[in-house]
Parts: sequence; structure tokens; C-alpha cells
Amino acid sequence: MSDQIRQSLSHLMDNEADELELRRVLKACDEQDELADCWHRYHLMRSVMHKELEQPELFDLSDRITEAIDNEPAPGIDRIPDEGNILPVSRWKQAGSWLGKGAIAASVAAAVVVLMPGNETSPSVIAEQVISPQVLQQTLPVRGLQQSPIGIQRVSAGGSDSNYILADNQKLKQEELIRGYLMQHSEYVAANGSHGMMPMARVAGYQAAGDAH
Amino acid sequence: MCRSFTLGLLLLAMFISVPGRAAVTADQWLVRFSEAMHSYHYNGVLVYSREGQLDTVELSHDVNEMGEQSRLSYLDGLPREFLQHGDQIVHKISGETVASDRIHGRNPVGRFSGGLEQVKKYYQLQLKGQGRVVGRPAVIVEITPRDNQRLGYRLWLDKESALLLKSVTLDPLSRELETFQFTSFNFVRRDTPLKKEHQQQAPADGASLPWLPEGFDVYLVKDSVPVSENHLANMFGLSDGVSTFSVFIEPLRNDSLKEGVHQYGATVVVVRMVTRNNTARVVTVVGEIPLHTARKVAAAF
Repeated sequence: MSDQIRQSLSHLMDNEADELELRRVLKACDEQDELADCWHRYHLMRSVMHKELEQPELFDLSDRITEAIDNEPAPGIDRIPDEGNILPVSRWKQAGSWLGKGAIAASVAAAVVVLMPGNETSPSVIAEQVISPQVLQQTLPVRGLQQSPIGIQRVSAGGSDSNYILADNQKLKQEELIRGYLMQHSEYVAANGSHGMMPMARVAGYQAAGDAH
Repeated sequence: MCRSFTLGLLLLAMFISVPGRAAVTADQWLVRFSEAMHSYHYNGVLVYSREGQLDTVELSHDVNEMGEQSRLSYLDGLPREFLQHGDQIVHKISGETVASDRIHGRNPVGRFSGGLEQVKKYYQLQLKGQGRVVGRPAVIVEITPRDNQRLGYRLWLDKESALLLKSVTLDPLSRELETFQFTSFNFVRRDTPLKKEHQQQAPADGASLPWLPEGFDVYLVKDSVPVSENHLANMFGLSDGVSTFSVFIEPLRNDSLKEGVHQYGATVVVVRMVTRNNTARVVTVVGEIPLHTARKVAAAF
């Protein structure tokens, strides 16, 4: 992926691309899966920035990417023989090599940390997770942006459970409230509508939806 | 030629020989349908599907001197039951009564009977051929809205009894939103059909909402309807003779529904907060109407 096309993609994301750049990116996307993936990830990052983290797609996506990375060929550089002997400094140094190329990847990880309100896990723990030896082993081959999803996955899997529960509770509460209105309405329809008691079957659906949670 | 003429005569003779039961137009079928509800015991297993979700209920219905008796029990999930005795409706979970309510605003217009002219003002009635449901021959009647302010229905009526075997709710673009269908069905004709309730309930006096789609009238005004354990709302029930929706109005509270739009099959829910003279109220529109119509009803407050 050339820097030029990357630049165009970046313009496109910022709504600053001209017609020519748009065409170039679309054409390149057709030819290079890597670019399409990259575009996808930019959107993911934007979602993170805009606090759209609660979308379950994120989990699906990260799972898929993890799987893809697991299936990747072994890293091109030497494996770290003894993880315990590696000093944190050297981890950062090594991490820096991909951070340098993939500054956006780092910013995503940072954004996740920053944007996670009420996060129980302290940022230092997350940072440690991001640069943990295991991750480094997988990410060191340095393919720039490709590593970013790991950062996201680590962070979101590590610290956001409480947020999800909170969001779920609110959703559950809303749905339970709505059911009250649906029930009253269905009784009215059963008594006054053209379908006799049939519409009460709808209530079964509302309740099944509630039970499923 | 001669043969088909004889056949035609034979068919004609058949129609003439069973006058009360012959129905040839969609209107007649609907009249038969609304009468059938008062002339038959029926029971069966009813399947309800929407958006890939499927639920099964057992439904039995009878009309006697006490009024209508219905029982609807859910065959999936928690054993819940709805019992309707006359104008009383009872909700049971696992055999225990959790709610009991008196039905208000009974509206025979909503059952087509007598109100066919009103219905035809807003819907087109058409016969759409024949079909087969639960192993029984059926005629298909389509109720198509004349504007985009209401939903349409496709009904499969049992040829013999004119009872409703299957119903599909359609949006203004004729897309299927939900389906009710019997998968087993039995009926017994009552020996002495009960007299139809002919008294038509007039639209509620004085009650009005800021905006209503044409043809819809307020048939029910009910104060302090429990919508949850600790929420009460004033309820308005509206009908155009076929479609129905409800409007709930209550003071805004911390735990009120949030503003927004929800859709469950054919049913839409629009929640809107309205502030006027320093008091905030929550308006909730619930019903089987198009989303844009529900939005407009809510937005008019």
C-alpha cells in the first residue's frame, strides 16, 4: 500500500478527498484487500472515537481479526526466548517500531482507554496488556496498522464489561417499560379490533423478546 | 358450451339453495366473518411470526349469554394465559392471576359489522382468490388502505365457516410485517347464534387529540392506566374500523421511557417528550400504523 493511496484514504475519511482520489481509492480497494481492510479499520477507529463502542459488531470484528492473525505465518524475526528477561524498556523500544509506523493504531488504543468512562481497569493495566510479551510476539513482525485491532480487542475485552452490563440494564429497563404500553394497547385491540383475541399473540412475542435477555 | 351452461346453472342453484351462507364479494365475506365470530366455538393452535421470531399460542373462543369467552395460553416460555370473560380480561402467569382488567370502549365498528361503509371509505376490499390453510379451503380477502396512513391486511377466511384462519399485516408498500396463522383448527357451530350487539358505540364525546389521521376516531378514554408497576398514564384508544392505535400521556419522570422509536413487527412505538407551561409530559403512541403516521400523531402535541 503506497503512502500516496494511504494519503488519499485519509482525505476520504476527513471528507476532503476530491473525485480523483475517491476513484483511486475505490479502484485500489478492488485490487488490494489490504487497503480495504485498512479502510474498514479507519471506520472502526472513528466509531471508537465517537463512542460507538457499544455496537456488538466490534466484538465480532475483533474475533475475526484475532483469528486472522492467529492464522498468519510465524513472525519474521526471532522470537523472544525468555519473556521474563525482557525489560519493559526494551518492550517499549520494540513496540515503538510498530508504533512509529502505525501511530494510528496507538491512538486507537489510547482512545479506547480515554473514552472508556467509569472503566474499572486502570490505564496502566491496559497499557501493560497492549505491550505484553504475548502480544509483542504476534505483532512484532511489524505490519503497521494491522496490529491495531489487537490493541482494541485487548482493551475492550479487558475493561469494558461493566459498561456493557450498564447499557444492557438500561435497554432491558426500557424494553420492560415498553411492554407495559404494548400490553395495554393489545388488550384494547383484542377487545376492539377486527381480529378477536388474535392480537394478544403479539404480547407473547414481546415477552419472548424480554425473556431472551 | 351446453355443459358449461348446465354447470353454471348448477352452481347458481347451489348459491340460491344456501342463501345465508353464500358470499361472493369481499364485502359479503367480511360480513360473514364478523357474524361467524358470534356463531362458532373455535379453538386451535395459533402461530405468530414477525421478523424471524416465532411464537405459538393456543386459542379458544366461545360466545354465550355471558358474552365472549376466550382463552389464550402461550405454549412457549413462561406458561402465561389471558382469559376474557365478557368484558373482563385476566392475565395469569403459571396459573396465578397477575392482572385483571375491565375492558372499556367495546367498539363493534372495529369488528367490521355495521361499519362496512366506514371501512370502505379508507380501505379497498378485494377478493384475492382462494387458498388452503390448516388443510382447509379458504378465500383470500385483501383489505388495502386507500392512503398511506394505515396498514393493510390479507385475510384467509375458512370457506365453510368464514372464520379467520390466517392473517398477514402489510405495510403501505405491501410488505409483510407479521403473520398470524392457525396450525390446527376446530370449530363447532352454535345451535342458536347469539344476537349481534347492534348498538354501535359512538366516538367518545369531546375527546380529541391535536392531530389524527383521517378516519380515526377516539373510542376509548381511560385515566390512570397502569403501564408498569409504578407508572400510570392516561390512555386514548383510536380506530378507523380496521386499524387501531393507542396514545398514552403522562407526566415526565426520571424513569420514564426515553424519547425514541421502536418497532415490533407491525407495531410501532413512538415516545416523545413535550414541554409546555413548564410541565413536561411524555406522549407514547403505540399501534399498528405506519411509523410516519405515529410520528405525526406524537409530533402534534
